[in-house]
Amino acid sequence: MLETLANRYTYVLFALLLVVGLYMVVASSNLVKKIIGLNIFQTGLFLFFVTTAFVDGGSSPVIPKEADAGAAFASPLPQVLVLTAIVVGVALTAVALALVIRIYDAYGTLDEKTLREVRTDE
Amino acid sequence: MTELFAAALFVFVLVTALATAALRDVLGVVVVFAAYSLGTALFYAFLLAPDVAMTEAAIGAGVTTLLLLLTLAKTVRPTPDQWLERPNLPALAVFGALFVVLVATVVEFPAVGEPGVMWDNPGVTQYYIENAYEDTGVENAVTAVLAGYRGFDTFGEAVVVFSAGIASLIVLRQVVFTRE
Amino acid sequence: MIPGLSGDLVTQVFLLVATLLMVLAVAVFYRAVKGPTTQDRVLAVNVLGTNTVVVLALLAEGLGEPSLLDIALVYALLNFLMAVAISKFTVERGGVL
Repeated sequence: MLETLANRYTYVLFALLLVVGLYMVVASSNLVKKIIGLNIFQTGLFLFFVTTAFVDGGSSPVIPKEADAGAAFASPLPQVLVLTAIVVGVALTAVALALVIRIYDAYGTLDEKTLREVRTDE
Repeated sequence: MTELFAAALFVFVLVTALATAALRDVLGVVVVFAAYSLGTALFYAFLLAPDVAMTEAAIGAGVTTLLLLLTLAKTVRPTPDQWLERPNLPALAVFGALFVVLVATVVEFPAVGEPGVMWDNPGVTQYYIENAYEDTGVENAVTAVLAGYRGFDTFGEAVVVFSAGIASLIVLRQVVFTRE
Repeated sequence: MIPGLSGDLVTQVFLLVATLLMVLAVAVFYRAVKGPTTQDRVLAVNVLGTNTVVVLALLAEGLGEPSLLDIALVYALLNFLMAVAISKFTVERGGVL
Protein backbone atom coordinates (compact mmCIF):
# COMPACT_ATOMS: atom_id res chain seq x y z
CA MET A 1 0.00 0.00 0.00
CA LEU A 2 2.71 2.43 1.03
CA GLU A 3 4.77 1.60 -2.05
CA THR A 4 1.71 2.02 -4.26
CA LEU A 5 1.21 5.51 -2.83
CA ALA A 6 4.92 6.36 -3.12
CA ASN A 7 4.78 5.50 -6.83
CA ARG A 8 1.83 7.88 -7.18
CA TYR A 9 3.19 10.71 -5.05
CA THR A 10 2.03 13.53 -7.34
CA TYR A 11 -1.50 12.15 -7.31
CA VAL A 12 -1.40 12.02 -3.51
CA LEU A 13 -0.20 15.64 -3.46
CA PHE A 14 -3.02 16.48 -5.90
CA ALA A 15 -5.54 14.99 -3.46
CA LEU A 16 -3.98 16.85 -0.51
CA LEU A 17 -3.95 20.22 -2.31
CA LEU A 18 -7.56 19.73 -3.41
CA VAL A 19 -8.61 19.06 0.18
CA VAL A 20 -6.57 21.95 1.65
CA GLY A 21 -7.96 24.37 -0.95
CA LEU A 22 -11.57 23.31 -0.34
CA TYR A 23 -11.05 23.48 3.43
CA MET A 24 -9.82 27.07 3.07
CA VAL A 25 -12.84 28.01 0.93
CA VAL A 26 -15.25 26.60 3.52
CA ALA A 27 -13.55 27.25 6.85
CA SER A 28 -11.88 30.68 6.42
CA SER A 29 -14.07 33.56 7.44
CA ASN A 30 -12.03 36.13 5.47
CA LEU A 31 -13.12 36.50 1.82
CA VAL A 32 -9.56 37.07 0.53
CA LYS A 33 -8.44 33.84 2.18
CA LYS A 34 -11.32 32.01 0.48
CA ILE A 35 -10.03 33.20 -2.91
CA ILE A 36 -6.50 32.06 -2.04
CA GLY A 37 -8.00 28.66 -1.17
CA LEU A 38 -9.61 28.55 -4.61
CA ASN A 39 -6.17 29.21 -6.13
CA ILE A 40 -4.64 26.32 -4.16
CA PHE A 41 -7.46 24.05 -5.35
CA GLN A 42 -6.63 25.11 -8.92
CA THR A 43 -2.90 24.40 -8.65
CA GLY A 44 -3.74 20.92 -7.34
CA LEU A 45 -5.66 20.23 -10.55
CA PHE A 46 -2.84 21.67 -12.68
CA LEU A 47 -0.45 19.28 -10.93
CA PHE A 48 -2.73 16.39 -11.93
CA PHE A 49 -2.70 17.41 -15.59
CA VAL A 50 1.05 18.01 -15.70
CA THR A 51 1.59 14.57 -14.14
CA THR A 52 -0.48 12.88 -16.84
CA ALA A 53 1.87 14.43 -19.42
CA PHE A 54 5.04 13.34 -17.58
CA VAL A 55 7.10 10.43 -18.95
CA ASP A 56 9.84 8.98 -16.75
CA GLY A 57 13.24 9.34 -18.42
CA GLY A 58 11.80 11.53 -21.17
CA SER A 59 12.50 15.18 -21.91
CA SER A 60 10.40 18.34 -22.17
CA PRO A 61 8.39 18.68 -25.40
CA VAL A 62 11.00 20.75 -27.22
CA ILE A 63 11.68 18.51 -30.19
CA PRO A 64 14.91 19.06 -32.12
CA LYS A 65 14.77 19.01 -35.93
CA GLU A 66 16.32 15.56 -36.16
CA ALA A 67 14.83 13.72 -33.20
CA ASP A 68 15.77 10.10 -32.52
CA ALA A 69 12.89 7.79 -33.28
CA GLY A 70 13.03 6.17 -29.82
CA ALA A 71 13.32 9.37 -27.75
CA ALA A 72 10.52 9.87 -25.21
CA PHE A 73 8.90 13.30 -24.77
CA ALA A 74 6.36 14.62 -22.31
CA SER A 75 2.97 15.01 -23.96
CA PRO A 76 2.41 18.64 -25.06
CA LEU A 77 -1.40 18.50 -25.00
CA PRO A 78 -2.09 18.47 -21.20
CA GLN A 79 0.57 21.14 -20.77
CA VAL A 80 -1.23 23.42 -23.25
CA LEU A 81 -4.51 22.85 -21.42
CA VAL A 82 -2.83 23.84 -18.13
CA LEU A 83 -1.32 26.98 -19.73
CA THR A 84 -4.81 28.04 -20.81
CA ALA A 85 -6.26 27.18 -17.39
CA ILE A 86 -3.63 29.24 -15.52
CA VAL A 87 -4.47 32.39 -17.47
CA VAL A 88 -8.24 31.81 -17.11
CA GLY A 89 -7.68 31.20 -13.38
CA VAL A 90 -5.99 34.57 -12.95
CA ALA A 91 -8.85 36.27 -14.83
CA LEU A 92 -11.26 34.56 -12.42
CA THR A 93 -9.22 35.70 -9.41
CA ALA A 94 -9.23 39.28 -10.73
CA VAL A 95 -13.04 39.34 -11.02
CA ALA A 96 -13.42 37.74 -7.57
CA LEU A 97 -11.10 40.31 -5.98
CA ALA A 98 -12.98 43.15 -7.71
CA LEU A 99 -16.18 41.80 -6.14
CA VAL A 100 -14.41 41.65 -2.76
CA ILE A 101 -13.48 45.34 -3.07
CA ARG A 102 -17.12 46.12 -3.99
CA ILE A 103 -18.39 44.15 -0.97
CA TYR A 104 -16.01 46.02 1.32
CA ASP A 105 -17.20 49.29 -0.18
CA ALA A 106 -20.85 48.43 0.51
CA TYR A 107 -20.56 46.76 3.93
CA GLY A 108 -17.23 47.85 5.39
CA THR A 109 -16.10 44.35 6.31
CA LEU A 110 -14.58 41.26 4.73
CA ASP A 111 -15.50 38.89 7.55
CA GLU A 112 -18.10 36.32 6.59
CA LYS A 113 -19.81 36.23 9.99
CA THR A 114 -20.03 40.01 10.30
CA LEU A 115 -21.34 40.20 6.73
CA ARG A 116 -24.10 37.75 7.58
CA GLU A 117 -25.10 39.81 10.62
CA VAL A 118 -25.14 43.03 8.59
CA ARG A 119 -27.25 41.37 5.90
CA THR A 120 -29.88 40.11 8.38
CA ASP A 121 -30.09 43.54 10.04
CA GLU A 122 -31.08 45.21 6.79
CA MET B 1 18.59 10.76 -6.62
CA THR B 2 15.57 12.19 -8.44
CA GLU B 3 13.32 10.33 -5.99
CA LEU B 4 14.98 12.11 -3.05
CA PHE B 5 14.52 15.47 -4.75
CA ALA B 6 10.87 14.68 -5.49
CA ALA B 7 10.34 13.78 -1.82
CA ALA B 8 11.89 17.08 -0.64
CA LEU B 9 9.77 19.03 -3.14
CA PHE B 10 6.63 17.15 -2.04
CA VAL B 11 7.27 18.10 1.60
CA PHE B 12 7.94 21.75 0.71
CA VAL B 13 4.76 22.19 -1.35
CA LEU B 14 2.65 20.43 1.29
CA VAL B 15 4.10 22.49 4.17
CA THR B 16 3.54 25.78 2.31
CA ALA B 17 -0.05 24.82 1.45
CA LEU B 18 -0.83 23.86 5.04
CA ALA B 19 0.76 27.08 6.34
CA THR B 20 -1.39 29.11 3.92
CA ALA B 21 -4.48 27.45 5.36
CA ALA B 22 -3.41 27.75 9.00
CA LEU B 23 -2.06 31.31 9.18
CA ARG B 24 -4.44 33.98 10.49
CA ASP B 25 -2.90 37.29 9.33
CA VAL B 26 -4.09 37.99 5.76
CA LEU B 27 -0.92 39.80 4.62
CA GLY B 28 1.10 36.88 6.02
CA VAL B 29 -1.11 34.48 4.04
CA VAL B 30 -0.45 36.43 0.82
CA VAL B 31 3.32 36.29 1.38
CA VAL B 32 3.22 32.57 2.27
CA PHE B 33 1.06 31.92 -0.82
CA ALA B 34 3.83 33.50 -2.95
CA ALA B 35 6.25 30.95 -1.45
CA TYR B 36 3.73 28.18 -2.24
CA SER B 37 3.62 29.40 -5.86
CA LEU B 38 7.42 29.08 -6.04
CA GLY B 39 7.14 25.46 -4.89
CA THR B 40 4.47 24.51 -7.44
CA ALA B 41 6.39 26.14 -10.31
CA LEU B 42 9.43 24.11 -9.27
CA PHE B 43 7.25 21.00 -9.32
CA TYR B 44 6.05 21.72 -12.88
CA ALA B 45 9.67 22.27 -13.97
CA PHE B 46 10.62 18.95 -12.36
CA LEU B 47 7.76 17.21 -14.23
CA LEU B 48 9.22 18.35 -17.59
CA ALA B 49 6.79 21.21 -18.19
CA PRO B 50 9.06 24.28 -18.47
CA ASP B 51 6.40 26.36 -20.26
CA VAL B 52 3.86 25.73 -17.53
CA ALA B 53 6.48 26.56 -14.88
CA MET B 54 7.29 29.83 -16.65
CA THR B 55 3.61 30.83 -16.80
CA GLU B 56 3.08 29.87 -13.16
CA ALA B 57 6.14 31.94 -12.22
CA ALA B 58 5.05 35.06 -14.09
CA ILE B 59 1.29 34.82 -13.54
CA GLY B 60 0.78 32.60 -10.49
CA ALA B 61 3.50 34.09 -8.32
CA GLY B 62 3.72 37.55 -9.87
CA VAL B 63 0.32 38.80 -11.04
CA THR B 64 -1.81 36.96 -8.45
CA THR B 65 0.31 38.24 -5.54
CA LEU B 66 0.11 41.76 -6.95
CA LEU B 67 -3.69 41.53 -7.33
CA LEU B 68 -4.04 40.25 -3.76
CA LEU B 69 -1.84 43.06 -2.42
CA LEU B 70 -3.86 45.65 -4.36
CA THR B 71 -7.06 44.24 -2.84
CA LEU B 72 -5.57 44.41 0.66
CA ALA B 73 -4.52 48.01 0.01
CA LYS B 74 -8.06 48.94 -1.04
CA THR B 75 -9.74 47.12 1.86
CA VAL B 76 -9.05 46.59 5.53
CA ARG B 77 -6.46 44.31 7.07
CA PRO B 78 -7.81 43.20 10.43
CA THR B 79 -5.13 43.02 13.12
CA PRO B 80 -4.77 39.32 13.89
CA ASP B 81 -6.01 38.35 17.34
CA GLN B 82 -4.09 35.08 17.19
CA TRP B 83 -1.20 33.53 15.26
CA LEU B 84 -3.03 30.52 13.78
CA GLU B 85 -6.55 29.96 12.55
CA ARG B 86 -8.83 27.99 14.87
CA PRO B 87 -9.52 24.59 13.23
CA ASN B 88 -13.04 24.08 11.95
CA LEU B 89 -13.71 20.49 13.08
CA PRO B 90 -16.83 19.66 10.97
CA ALA B 91 -15.09 20.92 7.82
CA LEU B 92 -11.95 18.96 8.76
CA ALA B 93 -14.03 15.77 9.14
CA VAL B 94 -15.80 16.25 5.79
CA PHE B 95 -12.63 17.00 3.86
CA GLY B 96 -10.73 14.23 5.65
CA ALA B 97 -13.39 11.85 4.31
CA LEU B 98 -13.03 13.43 0.85
CA PHE B 99 -9.27 12.86 1.05
CA VAL B 100 -9.78 9.18 1.87
CA VAL B 101 -12.10 8.83 -1.15
CA LEU B 102 -9.60 10.61 -3.42
CA VAL B 103 -6.71 8.40 -2.25
CA ALA B 104 -8.86 5.30 -2.83
CA THR B 105 -9.22 6.51 -6.44
CA VAL B 106 -5.55 7.49 -6.76
CA VAL B 107 -4.23 3.99 -5.99
CA GLU B 108 -6.00 2.76 -9.13
CA PHE B 109 -4.07 5.23 -11.31
CA PRO B 110 -0.94 4.09 -13.17
CA ALA B 111 2.36 5.00 -11.50
CA VAL B 112 3.83 8.47 -12.13
CA GLY B 113 5.76 8.63 -15.41
CA GLU B 114 4.88 5.11 -16.49
CA PRO B 115 4.95 4.92 -20.30
CA GLY B 116 1.88 3.60 -22.11
CA VAL B 117 -0.68 4.67 -19.53
CA MET B 118 -4.39 5.09 -20.19
CA TRP B 119 -4.27 8.85 -20.82
CA ASP B 120 -1.06 8.62 -22.84
CA ASN B 121 -3.32 8.97 -25.90
CA PRO B 122 -0.60 7.77 -28.28
CA GLY B 123 -2.36 8.88 -31.45
CA VAL B 124 -2.64 12.61 -30.79
CA THR B 125 0.52 12.98 -28.68
CA GLN B 126 2.63 11.06 -31.18
CA TYR B 127 1.21 13.11 -34.06
CA TYR B 128 2.11 16.40 -32.34
CA ILE B 129 5.59 15.18 -31.44
CA GLU B 130 6.36 13.86 -34.91
CA ASN B 131 4.81 16.56 -37.08
CA ALA B 132 4.95 19.76 -35.00
CA TYR B 133 8.16 21.00 -36.62
CA GLU B 134 7.14 20.19 -40.18
CA ASP B 135 3.65 21.64 -39.82
CA THR B 136 4.44 24.84 -37.92
CA GLY B 137 8.21 25.36 -38.04
CA VAL B 138 8.49 25.62 -34.24
CA GLU B 139 10.71 23.26 -32.23
CA ASN B 140 8.70 23.74 -29.04
CA ALA B 141 5.71 21.42 -29.40
CA VAL B 142 3.78 23.27 -26.66
CA THR B 143 3.94 26.52 -28.63
CA ALA B 144 2.95 24.67 -31.79
CA VAL B 145 -0.14 23.17 -30.15
CA LEU B 146 -1.06 26.40 -28.32
CA ALA B 147 -0.90 28.74 -31.30
CA GLY B 148 -1.25 26.30 -34.20
CA TYR B 149 -3.26 23.12 -33.75
CA ARG B 150 -5.41 24.54 -30.95
CA GLY B 151 -5.36 28.19 -31.90
CA PHE B 152 -9.11 28.53 -31.48
CA ASP B 153 -8.85 27.33 -27.86
CA THR B 154 -6.32 30.09 -27.23
CA PHE B 155 -8.67 32.55 -28.92
CA GLY B 156 -11.42 31.44 -26.55
CA GLU B 157 -9.04 31.99 -23.64
CA ALA B 158 -8.34 35.53 -24.87
CA VAL B 159 -12.12 36.14 -25.01
CA VAL B 160 -12.44 34.96 -21.39
CA VAL B 161 -9.63 37.25 -20.23
CA PHE B 162 -11.20 40.20 -22.10
CA SER B 163 -14.63 39.57 -20.55
CA ALA B 164 -13.02 39.25 -17.12
CA GLY B 165 -11.31 42.64 -17.61
CA ILE B 166 -14.62 44.23 -18.65
CA ALA B 167 -16.43 42.62 -15.69
CA SER B 168 -13.81 43.89 -13.22
CA LEU B 169 -14.07 47.41 -14.64
CA ILE B 170 -17.88 47.37 -14.40
CA VAL B 171 -17.75 46.15 -10.80
CA LEU B 172 -15.05 48.61 -9.74
CA ARG B 173 -16.71 51.59 -11.44
CA GLN B 174 -19.50 51.48 -8.86
CA VAL B 175 -17.08 51.64 -5.94
CA VAL B 176 -17.39 54.98 -4.20
CA PHE B 177 -15.11 54.51 -1.18
CA THR B 178 -17.27 56.25 1.35
CA ARG B 179 -15.50 54.57 4.26
CA GLU B 180 -12.07 56.22 4.24
CA MET C 1 31.79 19.14 -16.87
CA ILE C 2 34.66 18.79 -14.45
CA PRO C 3 37.56 16.81 -15.96
CA GLY C 4 38.46 13.57 -14.18
CA LEU C 5 34.91 12.90 -13.04
CA SER C 6 32.37 10.78 -14.87
CA GLY C 7 29.36 12.72 -16.14
CA ASP C 8 26.96 10.51 -14.23
CA LEU C 9 28.60 11.28 -10.86
CA VAL C 10 28.49 15.03 -11.53
CA THR C 11 24.78 14.79 -12.38
CA GLN C 12 24.14 12.92 -9.14
CA VAL C 13 25.99 15.59 -7.15
CA PHE C 14 23.94 18.35 -8.80
CA LEU C 15 20.72 16.56 -7.90
CA LEU C 16 21.94 15.91 -4.35
CA VAL C 17 22.73 19.60 -3.84
CA ALA C 18 19.29 20.53 -5.24
CA THR C 19 17.69 18.10 -2.76
CA LEU C 20 19.62 19.56 0.18
CA LEU C 21 18.59 23.09 -0.86
CA MET C 22 14.94 21.99 -0.96
CA VAL C 23 15.26 20.59 2.57
CA LEU C 24 16.80 23.86 3.72
CA ALA C 25 13.95 25.74 1.99
CA VAL C 26 11.57 24.20 4.53
CA ALA C 27 13.77 25.59 7.30
CA VAL C 28 13.76 29.07 5.71
CA PHE C 29 10.00 28.81 5.32
CA TYR C 30 9.66 28.57 9.11
CA ARG C 31 10.65 32.25 9.31
CA ALA C 32 8.00 33.16 6.70
CA VAL C 33 5.30 31.49 8.79
CA LYS C 34 6.46 32.57 12.23
CA GLY C 35 7.00 36.20 11.29
CA PRO C 36 6.56 38.07 13.61
CA THR C 37 6.86 41.20 11.44
CA THR C 38 6.06 41.47 7.73
CA GLN C 39 9.70 42.40 7.06
CA ASP C 40 10.76 38.96 8.34
CA ARG C 41 8.28 37.32 5.99
CA VAL C 42 9.36 39.36 2.94
CA LEU C 43 13.01 38.55 3.64
CA ALA C 44 12.22 34.83 4.04
CA VAL C 45 10.28 34.70 0.76
CA ASN C 46 13.12 36.57 -0.96
CA VAL C 47 15.62 33.97 0.26
CA LEU C 48 13.24 31.23 -0.92
CA GLY C 49 13.10 32.87 -4.37
CA THR C 50 16.89 32.96 -4.62
CA ASN C 51 16.92 29.35 -3.43
CA THR C 52 14.48 28.44 -6.22
CA VAL C 53 16.70 30.12 -8.84
CA VAL C 54 19.69 28.03 -7.70
CA VAL C 55 17.63 24.80 -7.58
CA LEU C 56 16.31 25.45 -11.11
CA ALA C 57 19.85 26.00 -12.41
CA LEU C 58 21.02 22.77 -10.73
CA LEU C 59 18.00 20.88 -12.12
CA ALA C 60 18.73 22.20 -15.62
CA GLU C 61 22.11 20.44 -15.45
CA GLY C 62 20.92 17.45 -13.42
CA LEU C 63 17.95 16.58 -15.65
CA GLY C 64 19.64 17.73 -18.89
CA GLU C 65 16.95 20.34 -19.56
CA PRO C 66 18.57 23.62 -20.63
CA SER C 67 15.13 25.30 -20.98
CA LEU C 68 14.87 25.39 -17.17
CA LEU C 69 17.54 28.11 -17.17
CA ASP C 70 15.04 30.50 -18.81
CA ILE C 71 12.63 29.98 -15.89
CA ALA C 72 15.49 30.68 -13.48
CA LEU C 73 16.03 34.04 -15.24
CA VAL C 74 12.31 34.91 -15.00
CA TYR C 75 12.37 34.05 -11.30
CA ALA C 76 15.44 36.14 -10.58
CA LEU C 77 13.65 39.17 -12.03
CA LEU C 78 10.29 38.43 -10.42
CA ASN C 79 11.83 37.84 -7.00
CA PHE C 80 13.17 41.37 -6.91
CA LEU C 81 9.89 42.90 -8.10
CA MET C 82 7.88 40.97 -5.51
CA ALA C 83 10.11 42.07 -2.65
CA VAL C 84 9.80 45.71 -3.77
CA ALA C 85 6.00 45.44 -4.11
CA ILE C 86 5.45 43.94 -0.64
CA SER C 87 7.95 46.29 1.01
CA LYS C 88 6.25 49.29 -0.55
CA PHE C 89 2.92 47.98 0.68
CA THR C 90 4.16 47.86 4.27
CA VAL C 91 5.75 51.33 4.17
CA GLU C 92 2.93 53.30 2.53
CA ARG C 93 -0.43 51.59 2.63
CA GLY C 94 -2.01 51.44 -0.79
CA GLY C 95 1.21 52.11 -2.67
CA VAL C 96 1.80 48.75 -4.29
CA LEU C 97 2.63 49.87 -7.80
